[in-house]
Amino acid sequence: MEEQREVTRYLALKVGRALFVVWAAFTLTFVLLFVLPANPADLLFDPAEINSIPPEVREQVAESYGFDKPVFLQYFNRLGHALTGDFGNSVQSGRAVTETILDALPSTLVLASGALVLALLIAFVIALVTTSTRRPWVRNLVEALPSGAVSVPVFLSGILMLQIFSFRLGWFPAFGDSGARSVVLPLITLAVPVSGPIAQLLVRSFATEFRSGYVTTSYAKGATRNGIIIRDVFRNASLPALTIAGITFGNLIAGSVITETVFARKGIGRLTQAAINTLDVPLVQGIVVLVAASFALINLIVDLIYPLLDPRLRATLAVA
Amino acid sequence: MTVQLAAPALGRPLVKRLGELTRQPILVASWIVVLVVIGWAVAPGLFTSYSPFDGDTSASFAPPSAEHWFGTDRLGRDLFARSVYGAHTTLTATLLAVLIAFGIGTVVGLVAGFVGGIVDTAVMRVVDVFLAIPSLLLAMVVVSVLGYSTQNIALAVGISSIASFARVMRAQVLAVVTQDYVKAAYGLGVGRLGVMLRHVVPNSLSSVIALAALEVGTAVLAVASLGFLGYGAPPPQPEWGLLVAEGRDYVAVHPWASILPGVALAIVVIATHRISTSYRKEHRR
Amino acid sequence: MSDLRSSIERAAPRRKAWPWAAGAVAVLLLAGGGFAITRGGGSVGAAAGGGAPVRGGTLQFALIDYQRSPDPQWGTNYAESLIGNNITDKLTWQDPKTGEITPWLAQSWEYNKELTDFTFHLRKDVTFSDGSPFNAEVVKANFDQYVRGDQKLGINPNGAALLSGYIETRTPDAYTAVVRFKKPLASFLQASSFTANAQPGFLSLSTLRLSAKERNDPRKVIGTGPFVYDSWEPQVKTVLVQRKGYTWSPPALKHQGAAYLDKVVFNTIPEASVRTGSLASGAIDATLDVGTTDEKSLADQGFTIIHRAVSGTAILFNFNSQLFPTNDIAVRKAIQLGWDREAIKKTVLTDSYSIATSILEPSVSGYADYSGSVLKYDPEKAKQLLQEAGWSEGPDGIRVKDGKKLVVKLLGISNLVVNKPAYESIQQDLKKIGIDLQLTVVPIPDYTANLAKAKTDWNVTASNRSRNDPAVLNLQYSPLLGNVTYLAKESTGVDVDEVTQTVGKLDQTLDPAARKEYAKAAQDLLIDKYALVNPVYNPSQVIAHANYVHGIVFDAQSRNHFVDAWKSNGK
Repeated sequence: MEEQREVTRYLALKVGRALFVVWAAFTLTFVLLFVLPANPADLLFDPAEINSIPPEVREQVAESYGFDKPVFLQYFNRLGHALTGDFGNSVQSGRAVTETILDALPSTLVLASGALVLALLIAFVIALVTTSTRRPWVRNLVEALPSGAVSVPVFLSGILMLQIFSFRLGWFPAFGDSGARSVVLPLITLAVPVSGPIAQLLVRSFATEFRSGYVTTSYAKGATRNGIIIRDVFRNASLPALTIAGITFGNLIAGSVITETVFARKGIGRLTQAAINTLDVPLVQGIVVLVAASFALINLIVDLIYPLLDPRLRATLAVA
Repeated sequence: MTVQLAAPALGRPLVKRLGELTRQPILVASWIVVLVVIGWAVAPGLFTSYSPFDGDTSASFAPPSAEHWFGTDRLGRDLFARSVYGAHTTLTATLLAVLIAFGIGTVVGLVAGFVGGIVDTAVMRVVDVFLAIPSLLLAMVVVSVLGYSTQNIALAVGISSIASFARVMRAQVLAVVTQDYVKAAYGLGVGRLGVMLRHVVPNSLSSVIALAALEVGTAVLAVASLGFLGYGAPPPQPEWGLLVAEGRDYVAVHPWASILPGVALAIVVIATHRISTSYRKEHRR
Repeated sequence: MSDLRSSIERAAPRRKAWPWAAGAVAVLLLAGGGFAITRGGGSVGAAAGGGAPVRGGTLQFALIDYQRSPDPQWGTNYAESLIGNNITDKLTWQDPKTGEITPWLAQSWEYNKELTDFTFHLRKDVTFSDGSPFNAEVVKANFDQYVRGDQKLGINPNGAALLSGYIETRTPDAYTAVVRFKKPLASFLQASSFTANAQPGFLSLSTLRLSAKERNDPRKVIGTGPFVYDSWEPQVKTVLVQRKGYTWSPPALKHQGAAYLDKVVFNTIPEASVRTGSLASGAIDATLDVGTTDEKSLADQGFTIIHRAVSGTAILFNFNSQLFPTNDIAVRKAIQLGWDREAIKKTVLTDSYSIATSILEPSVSGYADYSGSVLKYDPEKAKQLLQEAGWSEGPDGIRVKDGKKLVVKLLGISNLVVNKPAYESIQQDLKKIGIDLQLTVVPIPDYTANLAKAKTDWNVTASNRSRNDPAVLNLQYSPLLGNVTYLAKESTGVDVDEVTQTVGKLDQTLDPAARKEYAKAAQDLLIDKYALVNPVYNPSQVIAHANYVHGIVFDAQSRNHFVDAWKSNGK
């Protein structure tokens, strides 16, 4: 009974935090975008013509998007609609923001989740090799990979991979997002830098777990070296990795801005860039809220799974 | 964990530290890289005789050679010279970004962790929000608002990193305040402010400093990414990220124009990571 | 962006890490470079040259932008105007060679002496792709919405600038439309053929009733053009298919009847190197927005480069005539004289581009050449002018007058790859004569945002305007209209009324000889007498295509039409 109440309290706290994050992200972007110097409606016109467009026409356009209303009114108006999932229409295309985002989302989800899986895989391999090898030079080499992985700008590695694997060797299509083969290069481009931090963390966790008591006990029981790693170390050491995966997700979204541009893929990343570039307030808001919400959701899931995965943590659940 | 009242590096004899260094050739190499780059930023004229601004129009897109180590760009400007002079802009921007993130983040994290209670809750919720918006997105919006300049880009990158610093600092502070020596200090009648300044701050900083070293690399790359997306330093000021970003358009015909500055950039980032790692290891021993 | 900082946050103990990867990465990158240099030749198709056009096939076309809405009457980028041109038709067709207005959907036209009423006699055989007829009622409905917008439907007044002073369209009979304006608008005749941004292409009555949101269903956007929408995938591509039974292309075009191609796919590829690589590797048949450095290598690999300068104005430095120091005519003249045109031609431009020799691009009627007189490189004369005007050399090489430095702040657009290096080259040269030109070159939206403060913040705004009619001078420079040089009482030494009247004449006559004379007078005034503008270069639209592709047309606004295009392999 007592435990159940603790669980409820824990849940409520975490969900409340997640909701706060989403609301604050909404508000923050609103404030930022409204201190912008330009009238978003002006950006609908050709810059060379803007001076020759009669002021009353410009006002009419601004009015039709509600940009003429007092700022706080606009804020509550948008907030109210946002609660129902309606972020209004994109200033640029007149398309519903929700629809625009939903259209671009699947492509980014495939890319980001695929890259995350690949990054985790790379990281696990690096950590495994580092932990299990007895040759110091191999360990040193592999252990240094994460630094290298994050030190090359994503756009440069993407463009170079295209030059080699697409144009030179013809293995993969260079642009668009049709078919499984078209996702390979973008996936690698995005996964490599993301794998760096995860690998570093795993290497450290694996090493710690190795030295801790229960692995030694398993040794004593006659388990094989690799068997230990996979069975025990994995389960325990993967906990912080789960957390970092949540953090990495935000980075993946940002990385997709560049990856999608290089590989001409549809997606949230490019949409974001275009939206910010054109000061498309409703669209930027929709995207930021979406990203913040999915980030909050992932953190929430991690928070909730955490105690389930590790019995040792269950006891301390309430304190978290 | 042993009690550390001051950063150990300062307490150890210099000679002994130098001896240790020679056993770590990669660390030495990393330091050399960083020092050379600092040299570029401070006195670029010592490293190249070419001007980064005035090109020889007859040598447009010259390939790398003994004369032009990195080749030349479209206006015939020596790309090595532009890389050397670019160190100033890039490092200044990076330093600014790190100072903002480090300065504000550390103070916020310290206050949150040390004061605790409602302050901690409030601060950490704000930090949550900033963590939830990917740094590149935040930086793009900030640059859009503030306008295009290297300083503004640095500011944007710095602001978007405050949350990470605050979180690390807070975690460290929370760990330190439970240590016996802190409790002992209270027992000896040291005031809260005194404990904070004399014990908590010095012992919490090591992780944040390591993070700052990493942030140098991150900031350089962030500036490059923003340059790629069109948010660059105003011409003709050379800047590393922009050199790589602008060179990419010619990659099929003149690949060195972005690859060589890219390699230089990667080496510097790796070097700072190495230094950061070594610093952290030393302070956790 | 990824970073390592999160790993520290969770930092547990440590092990030694040696970044030998530094070397590995460098080697990998260099290897990549090696590959890139020796990139293989692309697909070289069947026999070049003409032969009889082959029907059928899909043209895979690439360009930098994407169409943000299928509504062709709205748009600010090339993808939008290009696609609009292939699904809609206009009243008239401007001959790209002569600039003459020739029939299209209107068979003939006349106008009153005041140039306020334009009467168009329409073709009677034109239908929309949904079968509905094209007639005077359609013209009226289109122009009304085009100029006024429709707030309820969320449609912007897209044509407010192009058709400024529009009163109404009268329909004396089913196939006669009279378009009326408040004041003389000679340039309307050219506007009726306009194919660039936010163009007056005709949409069916059913389309006009749709809201902006509903127009996002491409199949509901109905035009009379040689192609119809098949699909629209924002950010990725737009696919058009041939309109069966299309027989009303402009008589001036070679070919009447339906388009040869079955399909045209407009692929969006933002990165220059990817467009070039995709063409070279055969993934696409043709690409717009060819990087200047890639032109030669593509030509060497057997691809055909076609181009047309963008008709309208050159890329111009428009001087702010009321802001220090560009309120000083000596400074403006010195900038005109102070940069080496040959250097830019050699390092930045290709044969597809040219150095500007006037405000107008040479294909615009009324163009006059100033390259021998005012627009030439003469640093000595520039220095002398500055010296005489009291600008003396300062300690750092930058000139000073009354304690104020000769700093000129320029706002430019980064959309054309040539802009930045060209401006940088000018910056280098001007520094040598003691002018500190400070560049802010940004994407279009930021440029537009900054324009709001141009009067007080920027000495130079650099852009061009795509409008193939000499009246573009009136539109841009008239203090009553665009006023891009911010002429006002504060503009010392400039007779503002003189400018207003001189450029204004261009919209008051359609007599070719008179227009030529007025255009010359306006250019004399703007370039020479008051030096309000420094023309830089003529931008160009460049297409590279495989040699089995034929018949891609550049129109008078340098937009492309695919009705005549065909592939020798018919695939």
